[in-house]
Amino acid sequence: MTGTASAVHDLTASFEAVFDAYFGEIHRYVAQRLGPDDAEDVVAETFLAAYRRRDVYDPSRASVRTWLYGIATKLIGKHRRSEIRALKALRVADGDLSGHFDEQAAARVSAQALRPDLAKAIAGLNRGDRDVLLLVALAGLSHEEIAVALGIPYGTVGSRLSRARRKLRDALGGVNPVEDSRG
Amino acid sequence: MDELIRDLYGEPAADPGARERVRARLEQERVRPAAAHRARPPHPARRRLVGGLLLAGAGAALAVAYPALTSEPDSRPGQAVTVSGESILLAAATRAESGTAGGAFWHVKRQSAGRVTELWAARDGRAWSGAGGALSRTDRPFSLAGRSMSLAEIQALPDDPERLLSAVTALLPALPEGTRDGVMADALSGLLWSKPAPPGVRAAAYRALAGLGNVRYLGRTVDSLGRPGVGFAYDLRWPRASHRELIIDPDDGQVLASVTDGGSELVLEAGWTDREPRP
Repeated sequence: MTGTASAVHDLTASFEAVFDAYFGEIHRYVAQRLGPDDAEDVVAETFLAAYRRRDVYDPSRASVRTWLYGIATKLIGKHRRSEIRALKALRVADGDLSGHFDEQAAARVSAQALRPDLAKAIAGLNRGDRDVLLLVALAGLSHEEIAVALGIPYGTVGSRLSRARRKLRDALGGVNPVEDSRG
Repeated sequence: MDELIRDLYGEPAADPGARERVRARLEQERVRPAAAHRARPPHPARRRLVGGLLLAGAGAALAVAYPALTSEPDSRPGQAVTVSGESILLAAATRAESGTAGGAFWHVKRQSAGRVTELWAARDGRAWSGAGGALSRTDRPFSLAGRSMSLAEIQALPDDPERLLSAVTALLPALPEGTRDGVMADALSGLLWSKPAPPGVRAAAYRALAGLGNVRYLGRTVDSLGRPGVGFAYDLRWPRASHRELIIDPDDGQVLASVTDGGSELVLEAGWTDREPRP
């Protein structure tokens, strides 16, 4: 990692490189949460905000990637209705398969069968909990990165995450057929 | 839980034009007077930088400063169409994981071209294979990625998808460019039924398959015995160009049949048993 001054210089000098490197994953994350229509606006706003605020970006605190996820997540928060609509769509996104899982045993273990309850439970989380949950699950950020991205204390990341996961587990009837070694 | 969430969200539909549209919008914003956003003192460097916002510039420096630009999900076209299949493979992984590996003998009975063949392998390394009423001893009866393997070697494979991919990669010979994914899919799917892979390894193989971009989901189907299942397919470009379709039973994660352009192979039995080897 280069020193602060030169890294900021790099960021401003090579914004194109930032765009090229991160457009794909930021767009994916936003499109997952908001659906494709709103995603484009929010992604454009994200990069624009990053560009405008490049002189306050502090590479000693966050990687560019973390920083962009933070901006995108805050902008997603202004589109709550889109997010809830996208989650409703996810409940039935793979509905064409549901006819196959007609046997109860299969339905019980099938990730397909859990979709409606899971989507509903995620929609029911409060925004802060959902942000942390999805930055872990979809973006793969560490607790430390999330704390920096959202500007919240490190301990808050853990408590939001465990609350969110507990609510989801409860919503799925306490049965989680997919073991998760990552906890 | 994270796996379920990722599965729920899936991959957004591919939108190849999005990148260029957003790029164009940023470019538009750039030509607007910067003062419209926030008054800034003129600054020689900034003027130059604003001018070069999205023009090719000194891009390399950032890539060096931030090398963590590894996984680019949008570099896997075709993902959007495999999402449904992924969820089935992941569910199958879960079933596989809870499978048992008890029994003294690994036994596979399969039917191909009207002929039933059997393979038995004992935990001590002895193995027998045969057809039509006769069994004969055989050594290192399994083959993975083109290598002969003993039962112990199969059992020692990693039960983590990433490490399993690495282990299989290490076994592969030097491959012509563009053939690796097909060979990998074939090696992983072979672990699902014809080999005594422990439940954890089978689960890892399912998860690794779900992560390959070249495994296509075909939907509901039946094998030639009329057993219902779901089909997955991939193309093989090495050692010769072919196509393989796997039919799996999503209820228990068992493979029912493997169909290639050369014919189909039906799995009549595959698993551990305490029965003694006999045809």
